[in-house]
Amino acid sequence: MSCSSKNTLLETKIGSLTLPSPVIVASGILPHDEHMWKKIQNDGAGGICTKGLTLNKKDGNSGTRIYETYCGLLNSIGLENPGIKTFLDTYIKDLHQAKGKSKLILNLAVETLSELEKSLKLINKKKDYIDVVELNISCPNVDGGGMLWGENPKATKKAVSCARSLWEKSLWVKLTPQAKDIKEIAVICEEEKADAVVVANTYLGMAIDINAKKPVFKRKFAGLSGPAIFPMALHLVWKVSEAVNIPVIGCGGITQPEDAIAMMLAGATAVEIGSILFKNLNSVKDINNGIKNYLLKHNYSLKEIIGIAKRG
Amino acid sequence: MFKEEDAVIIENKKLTSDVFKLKLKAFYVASNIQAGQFVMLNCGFGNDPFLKRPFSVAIKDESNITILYKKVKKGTTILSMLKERDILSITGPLGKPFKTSKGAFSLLVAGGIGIAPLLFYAQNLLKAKSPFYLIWGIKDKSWEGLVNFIKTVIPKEYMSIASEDGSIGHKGNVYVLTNSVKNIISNSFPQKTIEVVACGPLPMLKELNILKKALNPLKIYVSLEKRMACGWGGCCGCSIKTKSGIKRVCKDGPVFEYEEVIWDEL
Repeated sequence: MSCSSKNTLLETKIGSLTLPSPVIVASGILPHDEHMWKKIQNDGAGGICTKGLTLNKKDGNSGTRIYETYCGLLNSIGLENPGIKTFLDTYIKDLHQAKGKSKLILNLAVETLSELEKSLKLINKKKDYIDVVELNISCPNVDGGGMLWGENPKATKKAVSCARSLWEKSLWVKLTPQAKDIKEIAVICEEEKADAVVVANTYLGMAIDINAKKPVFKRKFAGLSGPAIFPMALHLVWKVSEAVNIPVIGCGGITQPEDAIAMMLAGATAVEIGSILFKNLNSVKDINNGIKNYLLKHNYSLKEIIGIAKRG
Repeated sequence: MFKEEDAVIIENKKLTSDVFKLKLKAFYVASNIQAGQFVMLNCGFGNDPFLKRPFSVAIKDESNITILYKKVKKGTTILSMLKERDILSITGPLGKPFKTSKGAFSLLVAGGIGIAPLLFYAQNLLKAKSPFYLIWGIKDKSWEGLVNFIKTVIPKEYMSIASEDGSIGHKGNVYVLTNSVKNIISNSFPQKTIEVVACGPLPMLKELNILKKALNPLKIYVSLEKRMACGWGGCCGCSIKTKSGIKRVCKDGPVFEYEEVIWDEL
């Protein structure tokens, strides 16, 4: 086993950042509530993502927002958030204090380039409180005909390049599995100097109310998360980590240590967990313990297991 | 602060063809929960169903809580099959409790299984010797098992029941009891201000104006129900529009002032 002591066994490096553990809480899960952030950091989270933020306040979608499916759930929340300015004025200080050793990851939804610019200018004023900006490119590009930013290589290039020019600290890009060629999108993120890619956001799905004879969600389609999507997310992590040299953060359907370990064996440097926290709020601790036991049992460092399944 | 704990099933008893009484040993929740708050409960084991379900607590003692639930779909069907000594993960206490003013007359208005959190509150009012009355609308005689159970907790002089077909109590929905409750209050508590606390199906809550007009209460509180994934304010799956902006039923509620809710948007 390499030189890691027990305390640093779970540390993982993403660009210039050293995370205390490879388990990060994904965006959209925790409220901006310092008590909950404190609990999660005490459980050993590598990082905690904010809710998805936009320049202007959003009330979110009307109608049904949550619908349970086999081993997962569909959501159509619609980025309900207080807007960047209110977030920075009201919450960032307390969350920064609460997050302890965990990294504070500000999830920023890309809607238009001008909003992205304005948001980043505001964010820069509070940059000491923020470790990472994670770009969410799963929103429709209204200027570009409504296709998701992350489905289109040219749009992705514009968004990442814009963000990189305005944000000097760590920049991660959360990719959408709806992209036709996610490897191509990941390569563009790397070329535009993103520090990492998160693979991936929710899969689009839908539900139909057979009695009302119409879709359950007002926006028809919704994001599928939970263990139902794990094998598909794992597949994307495997593919993307072959295509880029920057770190890949695996995300999608992780519920147990075995899933997180599989993601890392497939090439992920860290993982994000989300829906499982709705079921088990101690998941960060449970998954970290499982990873630690695996490393000790197999006499590996965390770094050594990244992508090891490919070398088999 | 809420916590997750493993709760042990003490009893999972069928009261009617589809209503069950679930008693759980859950020390942390039992010693911290207040009337009107709820818990999120795993309905079974493993990842399907994936989400916990929200349930109001109806009765509690030092170490146990009792939930009343109706078997509706997959989650509650699985729950109904669980046995004594099975262990379920539970999160709680969640949400904000009921709170009527000291010295006010509390009128509790329940529809169907919405009786659960009001049962808890009624026991508090009984203990505090605070004046109250419970009116409860149910479907029909098939609910008799639950009615009998409620009567073991709330003395009959504190309660009136209406059923849709008149097979138990008065005939009609809960609001047919308006006049009789108005008489009770004006005869026995003419000086008291009235505060209403209601829990039940949405159509019933939307008609609370009937009571507002008849009784001119100082406040009306409603306990709302929405689909939710977390129960602690994270997912924003249960958000509703109110006059003071978007609110989460799980964290800002489930108890809201009737006047605050924008009912047409629900």
